[in-house]
Amino acid sequence: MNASSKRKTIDTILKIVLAGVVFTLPLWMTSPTYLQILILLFFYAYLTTCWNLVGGFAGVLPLGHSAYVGIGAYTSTVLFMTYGLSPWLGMFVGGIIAAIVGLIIGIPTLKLRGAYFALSTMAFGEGVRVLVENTMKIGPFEINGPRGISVPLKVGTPMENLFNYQFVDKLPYYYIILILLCIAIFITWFVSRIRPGYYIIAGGEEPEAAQALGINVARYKEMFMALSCFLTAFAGTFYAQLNLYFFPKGILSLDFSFELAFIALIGGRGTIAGPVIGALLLRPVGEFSRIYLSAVLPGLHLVIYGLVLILVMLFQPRGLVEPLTRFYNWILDKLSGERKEVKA
Amino acid sequence: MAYLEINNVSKHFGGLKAVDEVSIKIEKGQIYGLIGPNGAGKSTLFNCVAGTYAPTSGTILYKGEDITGSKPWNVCKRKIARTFQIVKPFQSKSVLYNTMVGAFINTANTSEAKDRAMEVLKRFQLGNKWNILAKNLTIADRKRLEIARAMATEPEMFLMDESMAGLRPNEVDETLDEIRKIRDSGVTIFMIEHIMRAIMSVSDKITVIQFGKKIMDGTPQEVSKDERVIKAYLGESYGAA
Repeated sequence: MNASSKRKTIDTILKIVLAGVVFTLPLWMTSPTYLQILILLFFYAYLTTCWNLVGGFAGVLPLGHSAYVGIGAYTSTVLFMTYGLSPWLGMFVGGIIAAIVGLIIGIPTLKLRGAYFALSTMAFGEGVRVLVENTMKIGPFEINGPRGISVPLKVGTPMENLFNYQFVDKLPYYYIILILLCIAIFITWFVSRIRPGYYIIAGGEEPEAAQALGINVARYKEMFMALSCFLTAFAGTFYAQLNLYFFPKGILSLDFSFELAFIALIGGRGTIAGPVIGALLLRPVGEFSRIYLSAVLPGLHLVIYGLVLILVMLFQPRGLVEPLTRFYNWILDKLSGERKEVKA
Repeated sequence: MAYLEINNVSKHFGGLKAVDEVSIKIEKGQIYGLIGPNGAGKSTLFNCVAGTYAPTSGTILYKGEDITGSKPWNVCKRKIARTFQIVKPFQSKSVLYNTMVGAFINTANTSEAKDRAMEVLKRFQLGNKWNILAKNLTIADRKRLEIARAMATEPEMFLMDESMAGLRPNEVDETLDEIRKIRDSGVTIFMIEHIMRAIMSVSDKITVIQFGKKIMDGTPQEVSKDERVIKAYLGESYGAA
């Protein structure tokens, strides 16, 4: 009893230290390049966490999430440009539109099995990209087809900057995406502990058995799809505000959707920490191959992801989160001097 | 009025009449057996009752209410539980988690679902295995988990599809005891079983089907003596005796 409460204390301390490090990281790491890499790392961790709500729990492999990122970016930006609406509010409008689109796509496709769902979402993602590339205007909203949109720069007082979701410094973006990531992780943790979470995981693993236990599996999958798309769109707004420029080939590309799936599969699908661990391991690889090798071999990072994925699938099919959790528990045991049985 | 009434139910797959005009009446509190050679249409009939398939024709009444063509989750909400011939545990999850999924039908509260699930697990001798992952269970325990998980929904009618197939004789006896206990707790049982010793000893009444058609129904004694049944199982040449 004493040792197990000691173990719990050590666990809490380690987690607080980790949170402290993450929240104070920009204080030591002042180089804007590294800060940008960290921001993108959390950006991908956030997106993959959102993707995981459906890709991890519902037992399907969505490969069209770039569309929802795009919806978020375009919605908040055109509303800001046309009506001067704060991107913070535009973010929620984008989220709602993404959730509705996600439902429209999800209702027929979530009934499909395995590869068929993956293929249809992929086709949808590509369809959206081609559509946007060939559309100059939607009603009063200029979207400029393939040229993309530059978010008009409006630098003013700190309050105005906050209202406009535009900052001269990278630092605010770091904290925004970090907080978004914390929210997404909290939502994942929370839903996995309540009935809908149990139902979606059951339905993802054995749909027939789940139905026989009173679960309308398709309904729960649609619910999680809508939630996932809603949160995914937030990242689109963030991306638009961070770069102040985006275009269909970048934000709506298939690579983007694939990358989320890669990160989730390598980190650990259907787990809470998996997407973060995946992003933590893969993003630096992607960034450095992009910085040093993109002139020679563009897209090399995807080849590297592929190789890593093959190795992970062969040796750790449940993702890297499993050995890492074991390692973490081992450390806790060592520190508290107790061998505890594995939790359910 | 019978508890569960299957009236002239047929299920066709294209030209194949998997179930052909079968009628069965089950009374409250019975253990009702359904037997027949492989491919006779037993599981298809079960799937029609459980809502996996909508029957091509015919009606299914439960407590006098028409449940023909209800979706599986709605059938379950009417307190009809089922198990599958090929067990379908949620492999990557613990025994407790599996059972909680069943218990959640009657409560939205996680800790209450956990308590109810634990109670059910204790009842089915899985109490000390609650934290084992389903994929690591033995076949006998998987079958037991399948029953426990379905019982966690607190059904009044239980459809059991070959819950004893692949078990050792002593395990069959244990399962038979469990089935009797389930019945004694007020649950009506409709079961498919291939192990004759088991189904003959436990059933109050049995229906035999072959090629989708009902051959006969009666008590286990009547069924085991019936010439048509012997022919169906052993072939024409054995029927003459």
